Amino acid sequence: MAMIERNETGAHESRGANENKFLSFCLGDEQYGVEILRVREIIGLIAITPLPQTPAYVRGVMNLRGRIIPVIDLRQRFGLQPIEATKETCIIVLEASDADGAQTVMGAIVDSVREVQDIPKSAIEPAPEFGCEIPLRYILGMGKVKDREGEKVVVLLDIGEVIGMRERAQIAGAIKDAAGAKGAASERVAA
Amino acid sequence: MGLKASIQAAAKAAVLTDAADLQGLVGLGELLRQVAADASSEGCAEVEGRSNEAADLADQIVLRQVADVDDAFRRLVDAIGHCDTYLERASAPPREPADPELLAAWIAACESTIPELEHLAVTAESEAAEGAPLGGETVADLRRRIHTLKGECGVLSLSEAQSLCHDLETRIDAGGERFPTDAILALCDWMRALTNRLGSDPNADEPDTATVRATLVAHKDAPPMSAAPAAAANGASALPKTKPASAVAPRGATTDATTDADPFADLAAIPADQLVSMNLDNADENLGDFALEAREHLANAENAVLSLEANPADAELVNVVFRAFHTIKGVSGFLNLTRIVEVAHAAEFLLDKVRSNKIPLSAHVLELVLASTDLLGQLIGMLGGADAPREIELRILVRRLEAACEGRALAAPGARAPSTAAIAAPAAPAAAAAESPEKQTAATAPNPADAKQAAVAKSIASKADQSVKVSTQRMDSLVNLVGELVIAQLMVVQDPIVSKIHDQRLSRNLAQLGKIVRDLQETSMSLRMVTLKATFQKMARLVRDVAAKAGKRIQLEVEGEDVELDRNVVEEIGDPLVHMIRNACDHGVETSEDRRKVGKSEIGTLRLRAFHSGGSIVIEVEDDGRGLSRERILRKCQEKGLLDPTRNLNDIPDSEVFNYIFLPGFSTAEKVTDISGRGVGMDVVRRNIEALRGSVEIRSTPGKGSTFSMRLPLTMAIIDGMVVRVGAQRYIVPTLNIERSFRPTPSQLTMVLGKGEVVRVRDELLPIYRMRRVFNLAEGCDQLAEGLLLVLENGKRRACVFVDEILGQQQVVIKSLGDSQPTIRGVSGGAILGDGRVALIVDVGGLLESATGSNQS
Repeated sequence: MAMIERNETGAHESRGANENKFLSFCLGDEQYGVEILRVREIIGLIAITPLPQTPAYVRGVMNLRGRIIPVIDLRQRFGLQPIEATKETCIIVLEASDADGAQTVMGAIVDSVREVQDIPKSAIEPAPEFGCEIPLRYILGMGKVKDREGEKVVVLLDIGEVIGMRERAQIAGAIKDAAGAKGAASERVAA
Repeated sequence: MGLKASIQAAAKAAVLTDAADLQGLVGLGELLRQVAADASSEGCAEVEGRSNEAADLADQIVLRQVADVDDAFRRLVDAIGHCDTYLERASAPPREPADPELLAAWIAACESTIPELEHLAVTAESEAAEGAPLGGETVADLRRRIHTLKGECGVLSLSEAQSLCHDLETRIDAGGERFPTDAILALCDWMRALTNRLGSDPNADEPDTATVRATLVAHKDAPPMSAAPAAAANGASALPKTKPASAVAPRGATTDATTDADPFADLAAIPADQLVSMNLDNADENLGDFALEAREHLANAENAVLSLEANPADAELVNVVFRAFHTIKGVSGFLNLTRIVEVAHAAEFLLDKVRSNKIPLSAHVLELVLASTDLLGQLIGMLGGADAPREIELRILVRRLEAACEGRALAAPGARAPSTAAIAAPAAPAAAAAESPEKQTAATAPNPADAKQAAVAKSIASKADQSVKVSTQRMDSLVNLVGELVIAQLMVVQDPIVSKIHDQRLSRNLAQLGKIVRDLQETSMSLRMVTLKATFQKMARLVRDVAAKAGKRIQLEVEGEDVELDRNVVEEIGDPLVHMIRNACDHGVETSEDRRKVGKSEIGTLRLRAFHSGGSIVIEVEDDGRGLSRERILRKCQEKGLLDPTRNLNDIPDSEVFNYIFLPGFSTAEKVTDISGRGVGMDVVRRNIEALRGSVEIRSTPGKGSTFSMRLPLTMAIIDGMVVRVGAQRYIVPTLNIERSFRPTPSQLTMVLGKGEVVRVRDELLPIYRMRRVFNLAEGCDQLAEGLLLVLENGKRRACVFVDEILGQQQVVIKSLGDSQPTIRGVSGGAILGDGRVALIVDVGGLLESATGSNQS
């Protein structure tokens, strides 16, 4: 249900055929999925300029063909241990529009991307109340898919939540905290 | 389909069609035939005639049977307009939702027309105050605009607005001791409210008109003024002094000396082959617009005259012709085209008599009017480089028009005049010498004048009809794309592989590419430039209102309203300007009484100036009021504990003292009014200007007045930046904020316990902030002696920032760090460098603040 509503507010045309398609990617051993309509493109890891005062999972900003967009590290966002970048590490450029129509484009660093999968609504179940590392509000549902290795569960992410307004407010809060903490820290240094 | 519906359908189709759209024209023709059919069934002969006429025109255009397609199309549109007006007059319809497209376009247009109207109203009032006759060009222009507005409101079926405009028009025509500026301004306010309402809801009701009506009524009792047109003075100045009461005679000048046998005798002195010369020296871009408009008006007039021949009783048609001439006269007077004024005025005068039924509308009058439109067409053609008509023709026509005003029909002299003139010409050197200087130049040295005229005319012709309305969104996306192109080009040129190739042809081509890209960038930037005209015009209204409220007399002098600035900057400076001007009027300029006491002119002067100065734009607000009181500001500073008590007050420079009024604490009204009479909202001013990366400076002399000077960047999109390196990161520091840079020697450095490091620069101790610490970077130089110190300044705050090295200076395009990204203190944005990486742009103000916070907390 939630998904249908979101698709209606989505910014893409030609959604019909792609409505049930999800791009799956890996963070550690876990597979996650995002609606393909929210994915703008996938690029290899490129130079990222760090931003001061931001929480660690905000890796910085990058140049997406002349446009500067923020990049977050999904691993760190979901509380997983950071790892060294590999050849497979890449950035998924995601876009979401807020309720007020403002568009957000953000890059998300993931360990590797897998494939585009068709997950019909019937194969999506609500997220369990527990047993999941990431906050419930980021989860759209659990998608059941079959592949060569048998049946698997993909955690489908709610991109609107992951990169949306609430998230940005949180980052802004973190920046303020960081500024305050830094003040305190340097006080200690000075003392 | 009813008549009304079919007319509306035709009007709508006409708006959506142009002369080149054959399909549309065929459709329009059919609609018009429908209109004619409906009209005949409803018995509206006039509408029937006109729509048939228009339909014929449409067919002719389609079949290319007309010489001037555009002209024919205009006539067609006019005809539809007439049908529409007729219908409205016949049945004032209730408010009906107008076509949303038209309405939106109109609302958008109002954003500029209303301020212009206000500006004209204020100008007209001040002109009147200076003793200019009330029939002046400004008033004419004003009237024309209100009239246009009325028409537009009519089309959009805004009946209240239409009737208000109409009443106001009547009111202006009626004259009176005072010019109804208040009423016009009230109308402007009302129109604003109206457009606001309609903007959110196209079907909204019109606002209450009571206030506007009240201002109108307040003026109604004023006695009518004498209707002497000031344009006469304008035209007369260009006339030969030998004939004081001639061509452009003021109304009622019935005592022309030429009532004898040969009314044209005195014109014989003019050589038959002499052409009309026009003074195009001060030609400006408005000429192109004028030529275009005037042709339209002439076409309207001609059309109306032709209809008048068939239907001489139609008073509205006479009005149409009258207005056409009147408008042409007004605008050409404004543009100093005296010869056009001469003819237009004479014709207008004649039509006025016809209009007020003083003389009958005879075939002779119609012939004269047509002759006038022809001649005016020729004169206007001169602006576009066409051949000038003969001087003698102009004189004879004007004479005949004047005679007709007195009810005398002077026949054209025919072939007689040239021959007489040819004989008389050499015999009348005295008369020639007495001619106006303008004509002398033409007579003695026609060639250079012709060449100049031709050149000017050419430039006007090229200006006319060549502007396009583009949505700001598209423009911005173009500018963005060009910005990306610049970056992409740099990336190619600086690519290590490319730079390794030493090939002459390649480097030549790359250089050429670079040049084109830079030109393209400059051109696209210039697209965003707009003049300050609209902003300054708004200020005229503000000055008037504030002065009236404060009971002062203040005149505003504006200079440099043609200076161009980035659209974004222009939008942002409105608020600061309002604050500064309000302050200047309210507190700076004294009351008339006070001014008299100190021996100043009773009328205060406010100067609003804009000019270029070293890569930026300076906007100044200067008043001749009492000036800032240094002592009072200092006293207030001491009270507030803002000053170091050990400082000698006399040593503090003026600039620092005046800067205190920008402090937020100084901005509470009653305190400030007590101290210096300045400061309301001054912190807002400074903040806004700094947000635009500009600066503000105050100069003031007690008793003489103050000047507030804003320095603003030409554009918001590009800055000159110094690229610095800290560890592996590069940052861009705006060059504007860097005072100097140096490598410190150990002797200059001191560690102040608990306060951090300081450096002695030219006998001044400045705190050192390490960029690495402020931005929390892992890498970076630790030894002060191994890196560089940048002396940064922002307002009056100065400090040193420690960086590893300076990599170079370059212009960068400022980009935001992603949409709605939270602001990070010390960073104002990002820029993409030549290698495609993002560098953060340092916000010096924020950096110094956050550094102070973290180092001193």
